[in-house]
Amino acid sequence: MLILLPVGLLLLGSLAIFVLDLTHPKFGSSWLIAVVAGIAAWVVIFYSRLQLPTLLDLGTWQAPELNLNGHFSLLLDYQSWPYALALVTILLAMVFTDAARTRYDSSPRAWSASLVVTALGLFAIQSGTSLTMMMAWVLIDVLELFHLLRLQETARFNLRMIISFGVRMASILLLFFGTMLGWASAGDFDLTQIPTRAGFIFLVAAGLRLGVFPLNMPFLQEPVLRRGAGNIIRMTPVAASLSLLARLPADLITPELKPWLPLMMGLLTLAALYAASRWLSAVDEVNGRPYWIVAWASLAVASVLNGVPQSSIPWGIALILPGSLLFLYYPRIQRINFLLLLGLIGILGLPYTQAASGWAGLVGNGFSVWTFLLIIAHGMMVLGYLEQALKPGGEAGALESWARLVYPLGLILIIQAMVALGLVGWPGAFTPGVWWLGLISNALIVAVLLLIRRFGVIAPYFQLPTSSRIRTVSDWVLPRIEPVFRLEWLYRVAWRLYHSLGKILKLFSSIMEGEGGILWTALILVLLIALFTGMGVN
Amino acid sequence: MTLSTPIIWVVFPLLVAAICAALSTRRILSLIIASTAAFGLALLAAFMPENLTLSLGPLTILVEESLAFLGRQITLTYAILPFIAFTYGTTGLWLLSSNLPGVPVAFRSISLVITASLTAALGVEPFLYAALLIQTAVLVSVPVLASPGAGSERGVLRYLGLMTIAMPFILIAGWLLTGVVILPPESPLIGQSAIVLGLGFALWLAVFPFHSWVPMVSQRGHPTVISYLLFIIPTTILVFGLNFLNRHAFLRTSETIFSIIRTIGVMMIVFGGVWTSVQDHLKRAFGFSVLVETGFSLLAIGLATSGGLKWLLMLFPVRALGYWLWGYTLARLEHRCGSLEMGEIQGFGRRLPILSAGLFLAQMSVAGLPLLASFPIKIALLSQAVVEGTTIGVLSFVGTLGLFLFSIRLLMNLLQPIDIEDTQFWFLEEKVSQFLPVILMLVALVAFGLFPGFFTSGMTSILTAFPQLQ
Repeated sequence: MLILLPVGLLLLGSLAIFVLDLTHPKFGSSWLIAVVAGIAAWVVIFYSRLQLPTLLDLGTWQAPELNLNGHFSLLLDYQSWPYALALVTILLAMVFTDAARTRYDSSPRAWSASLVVTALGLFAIQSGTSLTMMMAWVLIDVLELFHLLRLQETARFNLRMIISFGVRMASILLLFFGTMLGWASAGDFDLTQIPTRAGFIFLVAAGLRLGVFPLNMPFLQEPVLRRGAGNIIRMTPVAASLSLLARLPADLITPELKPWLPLMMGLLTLAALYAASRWLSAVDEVNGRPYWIVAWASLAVASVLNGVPQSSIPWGIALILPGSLLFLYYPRIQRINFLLLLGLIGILGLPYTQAASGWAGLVGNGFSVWTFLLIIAHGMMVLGYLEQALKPGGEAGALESWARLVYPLGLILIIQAMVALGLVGWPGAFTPGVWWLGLISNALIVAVLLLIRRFGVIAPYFQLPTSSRIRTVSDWVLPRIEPVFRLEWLYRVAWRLYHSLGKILKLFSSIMEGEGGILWTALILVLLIALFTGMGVN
Repeated sequence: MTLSTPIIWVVFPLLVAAICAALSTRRILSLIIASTAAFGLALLAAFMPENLTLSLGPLTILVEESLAFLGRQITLTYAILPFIAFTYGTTGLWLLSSNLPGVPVAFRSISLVITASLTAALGVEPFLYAALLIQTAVLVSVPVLASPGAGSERGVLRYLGLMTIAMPFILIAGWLLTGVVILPPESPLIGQSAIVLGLGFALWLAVFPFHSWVPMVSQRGHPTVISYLLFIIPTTILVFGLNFLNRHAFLRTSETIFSIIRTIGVMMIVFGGVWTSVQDHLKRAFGFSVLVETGFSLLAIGLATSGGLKWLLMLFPVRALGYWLWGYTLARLEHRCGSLEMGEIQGFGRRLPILSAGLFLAQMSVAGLPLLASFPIKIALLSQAVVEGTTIGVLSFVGTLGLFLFSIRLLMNLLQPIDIEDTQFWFLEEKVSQFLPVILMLVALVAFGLFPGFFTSGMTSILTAFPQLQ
């Protein structure tokens, strides 16, 4: 029952805030409830590290008289625990830092929604079977859609939102399909023993959901709810997908799929490079958030394709924790800007830091051109992070006294979670890793920093001056080649094909439903009989 | 005194139908009478003990299973009562929504007549007469389909024509099958009788290429009426079809026949799914989705040797809930929007959010979205289809995507105003009485999706009526 306790605590907290907000709206009391629920859930999850793995059976559909398959369970193990801790950490950090955003987007309703979303996220992360995960994904997606629709956004944004929902649905259907194939080959299974036949489909499901495989980015802009609850709502589905990656089998790429591996790695690397470059050039961290997610997720997926799914965890955690450190850091306060630099611990990949064990996933069975390109993507991500981290901040005077205390506390919480995960997050977390890859990447970063300094560019503004000729050329070229990288042209072609198919089918329907429809029916019947007879059906 | 099950579930509903017809101008009263009768009959069928004898003072009422009628016999055994409970329960459900604007006044009485005719069809002896009773149900349904001025005549004529053509096929097949028992296995008559029977059922179930009436009727008819008819008639025909498998060993032991049924089922799922995905009219999409569901039923029968008949029966209640909600929300939306063309409903989701959500989730439930009612059964069915052949399984899965794609398009249109740069606001225009049924049904769909065993296991007991198929 330890697994369910954090979920229950968060739901209880959410309900309490919701009821309180309906009856006696009190900002402070609601905030306190959110903090207490968050801390309690965090403590339980942290404590459960001592009892890994923990399994809880929730029920089964199997019964001889029904002929149904499948069961529900929750599993907290070395694959899911880091994500569970990371998710509750950013929730708690969100509530703490929201104290400083009372003039912006923090509200009891937003905390209530965040607690529910996090509870569902925990449910998804801890899913022991694909059936449980499907249910959790559906709940998260429907809730997210509902929440985003409530924001008074423009129709154009809403359209992108529904497309995004459609992509999520597609990922759920892929999970459905994979489960179907898995059951057909191995009967009912849990996520610790995913059949190879289902594994690749699960990878595509998670990749699609993360927007990397194939690259898809329905959101080119972020909704109005951007920082506090907005961050939780963006990160929870991501964490739920990443936890599936960590559970995929190492022998995912079967001999039949081997010839397709270069294409898959190529698409993935393209996604990583494109997203990293956009992150590097993003106006601010929130505008760059979709690219941040895609780039780190690409590294996680690459680890799985290279046969080292365990290495997807450090990249996944790099996505969630240091990312949230940036996204929750608002308003910026000059005196605590240094905290953002501590977030580098989670992404640099230096030996014995949290991301060090991720390099093994990029190198896989040997160093290749893909490894090199992914290292470049990693370097760009770090540079982009540095750019955002080094931006100047304001004064703390505008904050209330209690907010001045808890605001940095939220950020410190994220940093200490990074350190804790780097030490004891999963077996082999505290490791030098493939240290020379980290060295190459960090050397590249330093080289770039030195190089751009020679061009007169200094941190935090890594972009070239507007007067620069290279900048002029890139400003003209980049917007034109961007749609190519985003693969939107491919989706447009598919959409047109679908419309053409629709036209043909509608024409066929109008013939069948027209005056001569019965004659057409008779003709088709004769043709079908002739076809079946020709196929040997007597 | 002797009472019989056919008197209770065939004659009595006909009487109630006559009363409802007489009281047709008093809508509320006839609604209460019809739905109370339907639910009462459903409860009675569900809980009636075997060999019931009622003693009321000096009067002793013995309930028998048979009733002689014009030299024929209608026998409703206790084993088939769960199915009868189900059909009357679902009829009652549709009757509850018969007060929606636009539902023909005659729907109450006609739906009871249809259910009574179909119930009689399940128990008539010689069982060939079932074809006549099913034809009666079809004929009786015409007045509620052909609403004046709706332009539905052509579709209804097509429906009537094809369903009527089916009847002689079934009668001839039945006649041929009586002699098949004594024929040697290599006799060509066996194959011929199976083909004739298959054609009859294909016509009844609107199997491609006999499907054209379904979207035609569906587009012009009232959603409540259409959803009821497209549920109750195919469902009863499918159960009636089990009779043939139960009676004739050569049918139930022939792997070829099951393989053909599977292939036709997959074909229906794929064609129906692809057609659904490209529809621009919400009611036509419903019609094509019905074809997909027929495909799933055939696929389940085709997998009978692997327990497919259980899935077939378990799909009935979840389908009923999905169709009901689909029909209800379509009826409400049509009343508010005037037209159910995709282009005409743009932005209505912001004015009628719960009805829109109900429509979307009804479609998703029928399609098999996890957490909703059809999912547990469909995933089991599809995984077994993969076991039988990867192509069959994959194609069936692809077919199911059609409704998902259509639903996403629907969602886009419901939430999309004509001016794309406008900021979106919500204007709730729904009344509690309008959306409460939607919410209750959504709760039911989720409950069925989470606990399929609890809610649908009763349906599998119907198989006891077909001892050879258990």
